[in-house]
Amino acid sequence: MPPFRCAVLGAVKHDYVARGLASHPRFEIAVVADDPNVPAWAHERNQQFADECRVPYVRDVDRALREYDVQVAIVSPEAERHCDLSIRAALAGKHVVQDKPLSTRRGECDRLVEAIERSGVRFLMWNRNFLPAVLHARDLVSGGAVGAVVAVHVDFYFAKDAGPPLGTRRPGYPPLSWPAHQIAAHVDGSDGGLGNEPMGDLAIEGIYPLGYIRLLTGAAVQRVFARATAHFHQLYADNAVEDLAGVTLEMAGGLIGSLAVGRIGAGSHPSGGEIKLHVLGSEGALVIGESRPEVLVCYRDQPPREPRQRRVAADNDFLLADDFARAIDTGGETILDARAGRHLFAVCEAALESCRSGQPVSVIE
Amino acid sequence: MIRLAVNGATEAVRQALGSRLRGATLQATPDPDAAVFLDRPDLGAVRQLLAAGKHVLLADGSCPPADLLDTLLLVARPGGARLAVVNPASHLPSCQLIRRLLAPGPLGKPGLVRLHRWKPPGVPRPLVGDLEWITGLMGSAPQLVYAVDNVPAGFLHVQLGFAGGATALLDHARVPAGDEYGSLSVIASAGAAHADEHANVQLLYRGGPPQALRTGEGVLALTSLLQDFVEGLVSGRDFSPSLAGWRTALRVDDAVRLSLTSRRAIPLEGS
Repeated sequence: MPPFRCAVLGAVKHDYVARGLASHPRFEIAVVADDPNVPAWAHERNQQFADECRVPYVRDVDRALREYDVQVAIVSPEAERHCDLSIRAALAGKHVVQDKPLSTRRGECDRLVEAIERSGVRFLMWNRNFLPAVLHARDLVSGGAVGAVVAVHVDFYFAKDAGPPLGTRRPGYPPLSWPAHQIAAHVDGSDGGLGNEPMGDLAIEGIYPLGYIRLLTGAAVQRVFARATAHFHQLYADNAVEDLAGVTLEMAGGLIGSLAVGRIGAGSHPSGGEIKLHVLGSEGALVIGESRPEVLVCYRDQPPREPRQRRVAADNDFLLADDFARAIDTGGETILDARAGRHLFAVCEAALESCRSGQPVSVIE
Repeated sequence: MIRLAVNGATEAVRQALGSRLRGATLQATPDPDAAVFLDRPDLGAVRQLLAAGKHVLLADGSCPPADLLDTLLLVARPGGARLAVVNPASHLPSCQLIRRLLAPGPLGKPGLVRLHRWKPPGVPRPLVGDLEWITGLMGSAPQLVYAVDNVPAGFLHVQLGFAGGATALLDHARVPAGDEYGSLSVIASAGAAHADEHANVQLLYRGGPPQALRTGEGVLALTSLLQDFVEGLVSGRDFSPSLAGWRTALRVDDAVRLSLTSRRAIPLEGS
């Protein structure tokens, strides 16, 4: 069976999505493309990625979709362009793999769901649901190890910096520019919500823990209470977005959930972050370390930022790609399709509204 | 030497404490200088002790309701007896370490506290004790209280909102008999600390899946709180400021109940 040919539409944020999909023998990158009017730095990144993959870089998305015999679009531009490119790909009959976040606006998410479903193509929102520990949790829960699930809690603290710490801006100095920081931070991989519009980490990263909860329970979130703050980074405070959040979730069937999400700074964890799942059931409970299995590696003159606990056996990329290929082959759904992604967006949106109102907020379906 | 009557301790714990305390002896005498309650106290007996001029330490992780607390303080006053209410959790070595490292220490200012407290059926898990613990770690009273529960499943989740968007999440859950789990995460402005029993379990192999066994923190918490009480008595320290945290926790406890019935977030007046 020939591999699916893929067009990479914007490789400016996370080229790991494209690399992840291409790690599977069923997918090959055929072309990189973007719109002609994107900034020069975006063209430069796209060109670099195309050169690395030894494929053409085409400054015309629609032409690339039309002329390069592709069946799949891999979408990872600036966040506010995610849906636009995905919709154009879907309307051109291409299956879509998209980076997080789904969008910056609910209306765009709705347009995406409509386009995907009308076109009959498959959609996968890139996620971490196939990490070994998450799969282990899923298997234990689905096997009845804890009985009926009552509550799920996810701690999702990732130890990355985002420029200078909070409180370091001197009087008279201008606020830090969100897009300028994100563009510059790409060098060391600490860029967060790439785009012109500032996005907090609940909006960007919240999809991961919410994806875990969805995987483990299948339950929709109905009501949300949340508190959030810019606690670590001047960039986030200057742009009025959150780098730390706590969220209470009320879900279908009376399930209760919660999230603690934070970009807690590189110095706050020796190995990239503390991520845990807590599952309470009618017959027992689970505590799962998301980074396991891991190996402790320490040595003389070790660089301070090098992770001490190394994740091993992480097969997430391959399994996501495999899930996507299966969905295309069978016409079935992916592990996180457009409608599910839209729901997770709406949960984050409700959480941020709750932060503003100080009251629980219903999730808009 | 202060003669302490300790209620609620096993003989093994009593012996361990007896050999560690300075300036006090543990006695089963009917006429102690002070009484310590490590389990839920008989408040009538507490009242009698205070009225008789005996100092009392309540350390079961809870606190009498505010009106009763006031009554006990009034009863104690004429005889010069002193009443202390101490949260054993705050004397755990793990908690003391984290407290020491918070601002002005290297961890910085807390922005998020997360506490999981899972107990088997029948084991008391007073909410007010954990609320006192959390507010103590945050260093201020919450402004907003929200709670959801699942009564048949024995599950309660509380979220507290503090000034500036800081928050705390607490869950109390029921786990099968014989099991127990606790986890505290403190995410602060310059670092984070996780006192999680997940990281402190040992594995026992006896065929089949291994059993996870906790290595606990021993009697150091009890030793610390008793020693602190004894030193407070000897130095004539006023214990009443420590009650302020409990009074805040009692108000939060009331707000939790109100939130559960109203399904609203409850602002805490005066915070």
